[in-house]
Amino acid sequence: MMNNLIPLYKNELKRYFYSTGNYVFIALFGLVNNWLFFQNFFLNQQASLSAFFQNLPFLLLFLIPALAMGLMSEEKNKGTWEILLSLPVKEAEIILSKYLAGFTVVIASFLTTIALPITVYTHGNPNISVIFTGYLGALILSASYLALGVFVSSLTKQQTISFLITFAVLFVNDIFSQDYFLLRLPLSFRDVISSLSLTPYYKNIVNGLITLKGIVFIMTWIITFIILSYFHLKSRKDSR
Amino acid sequence: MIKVSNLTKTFGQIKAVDNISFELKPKIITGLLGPNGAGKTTTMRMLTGLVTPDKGKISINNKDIKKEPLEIKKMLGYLPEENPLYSFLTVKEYLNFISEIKGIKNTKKEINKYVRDLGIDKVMNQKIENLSKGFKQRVGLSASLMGNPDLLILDEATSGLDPNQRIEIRDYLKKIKKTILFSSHILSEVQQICDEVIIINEGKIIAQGKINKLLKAKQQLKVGFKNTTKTKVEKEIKSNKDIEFELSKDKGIIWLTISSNKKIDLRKPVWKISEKLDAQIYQMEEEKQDLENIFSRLTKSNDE
Repeated sequence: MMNNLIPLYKNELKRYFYSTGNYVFIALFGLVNNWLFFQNFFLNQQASLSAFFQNLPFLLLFLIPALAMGLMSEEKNKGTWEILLSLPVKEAEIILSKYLAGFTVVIASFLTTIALPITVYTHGNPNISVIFTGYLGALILSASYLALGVFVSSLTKQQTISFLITFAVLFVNDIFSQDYFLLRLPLSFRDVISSLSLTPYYKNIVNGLITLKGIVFIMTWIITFIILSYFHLKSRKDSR
Repeated sequence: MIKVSNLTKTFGQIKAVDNISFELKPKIITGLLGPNGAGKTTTMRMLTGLVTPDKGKISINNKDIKKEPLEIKKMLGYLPEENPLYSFLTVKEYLNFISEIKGIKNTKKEINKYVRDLGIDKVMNQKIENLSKGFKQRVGLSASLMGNPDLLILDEATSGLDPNQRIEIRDYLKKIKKTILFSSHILSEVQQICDEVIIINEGKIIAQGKINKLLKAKQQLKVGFKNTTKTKVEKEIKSNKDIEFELSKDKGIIWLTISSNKKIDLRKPVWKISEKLDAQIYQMEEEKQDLENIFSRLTKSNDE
């Protein structure tokens, strides 16, 4: 039983939503997305969100590491870790509450893009299921990035280091899916390397193609990093 | 009953805690003393489950921390050294959070009890980050007391407080009659508040027991001789193996400080020296022992 998941989750949400920085960040995410979308929307004259979903992995490269960097590192840095671990809470409750709170903020960030589907809907005749799978893909990609972010944040006291490492790993993940990188590799390697990246699976979901391989890869990615965070916390390797 | 046996923790090459064992008696405040880096905080962190021991056993009310960590934590209240708090919350939100996690049924009643006792009712709706150090310390203490824990672990609970605030906290802790492990750098404070003391140095327990007994354990006498020399006094006092001594000379007076762990009359060797060397006793007084003397004597050899 995870009796303490809710109070821990609520506390994490307060950490986010009592901080002005968090609102600035969400607003910035909304602003950049809206600006990138609307600057070409009326020129292209296409009632589609494909441009938005295409830019998203790049924007999430910044958003998620910034959201995740404080999840664990801040507690260690400020020492509240000592209080938290002396309370009758399970390690799994701590990790999951932080992960879920981070994901809630991701959802809040995506709400700032609500004008995009509304505009598309009012100016044309878009395929609703495409918009739905697009957002589904975006949330799944964010959830995957966040799982990595939680794990990296659990490794260090320094938020900046947490941000940089998460960003670097996600950047490499994204490079693995880019043609300009893959074309330099021997043919036999290309498929292997690109199948190690989340981005192709994300693109498939956005295009309405949900495959078993994709689901297995993404679930494995998320569960692996959550479990690694759990074991790292359980081992108390950082506690002195 | 709180029992710690053969507790050991190594960080890299450093043995932070080296095979220590002790028991904490119920409803008694036990002081945990030691120089910086002696292993006090590591010991406390092992008791709270923050640090996992390499070896040894910790049990509270016959429950083992390794087997039942959550059960043990339910019986604990902990105030860490720097008193870290969720500063983005108000006092009320923080205490509610702690209450919820500790599974306290009547949260309001429980919070009100400590809030009133510790005088934080006026700041309940203030953000913790805006509170003074004294109020923050009281909030931390209230949180550690919530749920009526069997063991209260207070790491430097009064550090950074002004004398009045220290006295208030001290009096409160004495009043509540709980089993408390209390570490402090202020030895006079430990002497005033604690019934028992555990002194650790370089990870090992070097003395433990009732403070009164420790204070009586060693007697000390300071004597000034006239009409003699340091060498002569040294030669005489050296012949007594039960006595430790220190010699100094000031304005023609030879000052001899002698102490012993044995129950002997320290005046006898003084009279003997005086008689044998035909030296006049200029002054003789018993040196009072306080925790500071004992602490510095016990930990000195390792610092040198």
